[in-house]
Amino acid sequence: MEQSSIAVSNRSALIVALLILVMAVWLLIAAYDFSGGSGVFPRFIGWVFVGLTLIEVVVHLKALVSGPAGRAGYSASTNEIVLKEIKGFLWIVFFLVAVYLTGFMIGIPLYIFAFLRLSAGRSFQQCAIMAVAATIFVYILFRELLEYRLYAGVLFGA
Amino acid sequence: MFDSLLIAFSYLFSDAVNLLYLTLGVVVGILFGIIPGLGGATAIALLLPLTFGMAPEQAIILMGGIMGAVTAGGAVTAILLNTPGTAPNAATCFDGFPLTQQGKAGMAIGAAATSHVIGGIFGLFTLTLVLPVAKTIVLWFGPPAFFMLALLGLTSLTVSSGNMLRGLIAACVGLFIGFVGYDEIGGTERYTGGIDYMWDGLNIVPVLIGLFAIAEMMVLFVKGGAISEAGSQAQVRFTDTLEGVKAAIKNIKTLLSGSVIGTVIGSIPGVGGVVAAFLSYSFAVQTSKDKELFGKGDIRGVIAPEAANCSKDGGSLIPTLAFGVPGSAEMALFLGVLILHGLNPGPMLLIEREYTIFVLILALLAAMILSAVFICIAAYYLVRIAYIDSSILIPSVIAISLVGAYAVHNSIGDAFAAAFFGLLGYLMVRYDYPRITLVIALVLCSLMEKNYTQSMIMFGGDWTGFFKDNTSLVLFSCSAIALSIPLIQLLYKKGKAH
Repeated sequence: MEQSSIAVSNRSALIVALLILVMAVWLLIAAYDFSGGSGVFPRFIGWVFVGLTLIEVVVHLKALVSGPAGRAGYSASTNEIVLKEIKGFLWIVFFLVAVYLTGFMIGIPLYIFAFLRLSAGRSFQQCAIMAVAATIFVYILFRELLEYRLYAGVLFGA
Repeated sequence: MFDSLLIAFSYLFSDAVNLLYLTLGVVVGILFGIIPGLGGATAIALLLPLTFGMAPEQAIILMGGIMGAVTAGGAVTAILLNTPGTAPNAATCFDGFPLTQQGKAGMAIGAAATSHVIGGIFGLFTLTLVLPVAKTIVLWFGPPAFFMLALLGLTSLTVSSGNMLRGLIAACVGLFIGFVGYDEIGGTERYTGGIDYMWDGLNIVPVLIGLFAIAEMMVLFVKGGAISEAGSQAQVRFTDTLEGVKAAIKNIKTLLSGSVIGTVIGSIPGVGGVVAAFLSYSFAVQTSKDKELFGKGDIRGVIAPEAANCSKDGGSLIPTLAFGVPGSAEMALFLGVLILHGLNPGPMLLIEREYTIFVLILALLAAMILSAVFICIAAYYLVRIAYIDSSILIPSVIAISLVGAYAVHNSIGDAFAAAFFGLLGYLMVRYDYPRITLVIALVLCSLMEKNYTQSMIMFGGDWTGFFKDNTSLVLFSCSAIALSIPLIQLLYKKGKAH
C-alpha cells in the first residue's frame, strides 16, 4: 500500500491529527443543524470520526512523549522538502491563475514554458517545443476530437 | 446469457471506433504501468473526462483496456529494472530481475506475458460463471445487508491499507466529502458553505483527478530527477520471449495455482493484488521441491505472481459489479466511470444490462492479450519511458489533468477543486493516510446513506435492528473480525515480546 518516503516528525503528525480533530468536531456540530433525515447519517459518521481522530491524537501524543528524540526534530532536509512542496503548489496556483485570467490556450504554454525554464532549468528551445506541443495536443484532443469548449479566461470574455 | 455475450462481441469487434478506444486504453495502460508510481488508478483518473461524450459501453471499453494492460506494463519494469511499475508487480522482481541479470530478460517477459493472458482468462471465466449466481444472491439483500456489505468492503480495505486507524479516518473524510451538496431526501443543503458551486455536490471527476493524477505529480516534483534510477542494458529479443511462453506452458501447475489464488483473493474486497501476488509466489515456493532456486532467477517466480496479478481483475469485478462494492482503488475509479455514465452497479445492472458487463469482460480479455503481445514485441523500447526526467512529465500531466477536470462540466470551479484535492492527496501521501479508503468511502457514500436511512426507517429508529437481520449480522461479524485482526496481531506481538 502507498506510504510516504518522506520522514514525518511526531510533532507535525500530531499537528495534522489535531487539525483533523478540529475539522471532525466542526463537521459533527454542523450535522446537528441539518433538518429532517439529512443529519442522521452525518451525525452517526461524525461521532465515529471524532472518536477515531481522538485516538489518533492520543497515539501521537504518546509517541511524542516517549518517542526517540531524533524523530521529533526538524532537520535541514525536512526544510528543503517543505520548500519544494511549497514551490510545487505555487506552480499549480500559477497555472490556475494564468488559466483563470487568460484561458487554457494561453495559460498552458505560459505555464509549461515558465515551469521548464525556471523550475527545471531547460533550454529556451526545449521549453518552447514542449509548451507548443502540449498546447497543440490539448487543442486537438479536447477541442477538435472531443468538441469540448475550452475556457477562454476572464480577460478574453469567459 | 449467451445472447448478451453475442451482442457484446459484435458491439466490441464490429466497430472500428470501439477497437480504437480499446487500443488507446491498452497503450495508456501499458505506459502508466511501466512508469513506477503512476499505475492504473492514475490512468483511469486522467482519462475519465475523455469518456464524458462517449456511450457507456465505449467508456467501459477504454477503461477495460487500461485495467487489462496496466499490470503487463508493470511487469516490464519489474523484470528489466527491478522496480515494480505497479505495487502488485513487486513479487515479480524477486526472480524477474535475476533472470535479466542472467541474460534471460526475453524469457522472463515471455513467461510474464503468457501468465498474464492465461491468468486473465481464468479470472474472467470465473467471473462469467459466478455472475449469474451472484445475481440471485444479491436479490436476497435488503437495505440493512447492503449497508453492512458496504461497511465490510470499507473495513477490509482499511485493514489491508496498512494503517487501520488512519484508513478509517480517511474513510470518514471520504464520506463527509460525499455528503456535500443539496440532500434531496431531507431537503437540506449540507456542507456547502454557501458556495453555489457546491450545491450539486462535489463532482467525482475533479476529486479523482486531484487525488491521483495531481498528487502523484507533486510526489514526483518533490522527489525530483528521473522516474527510475535503476539501469539495465538487457536485450529483449522476440525469439527469447517464445522460450518464456514455452516455459509458462511447461509450468502449467504453477500458472493455474497462481490464477486460482489471484481470483479468490481478488474477489475479497480490500485484500487486493499485492497480497494475491505475494501469496501466489509464496505458494509456488512452498509447493516446490527445489525451493532454493527461487530468488535466483527461477521462471516459476515470474509465472506465479503474474498469473495472480491478472486473474485478480476477474475476481475483484465480482463484488464491484454485483454489489457495487469496489475492492481496490482501480475498481473504485471504475465504479466512478459507471456512475458518471448513469450505470448503477448492483442487481439492476446485472439484470438489465447484462451485455454491458460482457462488453467489459471481452474488453478486458482483448486488452490482456493485446498488452501481452505488445510487451513481448516492444518491452526493450517501452522500458526507456521510465528514464524520462520527471520535470518534463509534471507540467504536461498537470495541464492535461486540469483541462480534463474542467472539460466534463465546463466549470472552472472543477479545475480549482482538482487542484485542492491534489493538495489533499499529496498531504495524505506525506502523512501516510491511505487515499484509497477515502475514494472508496466517497464512492460508497450515497449507497451507504440510502441503505442506512431506509434500514433505520424499517427498524423504527432502533439501530439494534441491524443485528436482528441474519445477513446483516453475518456481514457485521465479518467486519468486526476484519477490524480485530490487526489488534490481535498487535497483542500477540506484545505478548511474545514479554
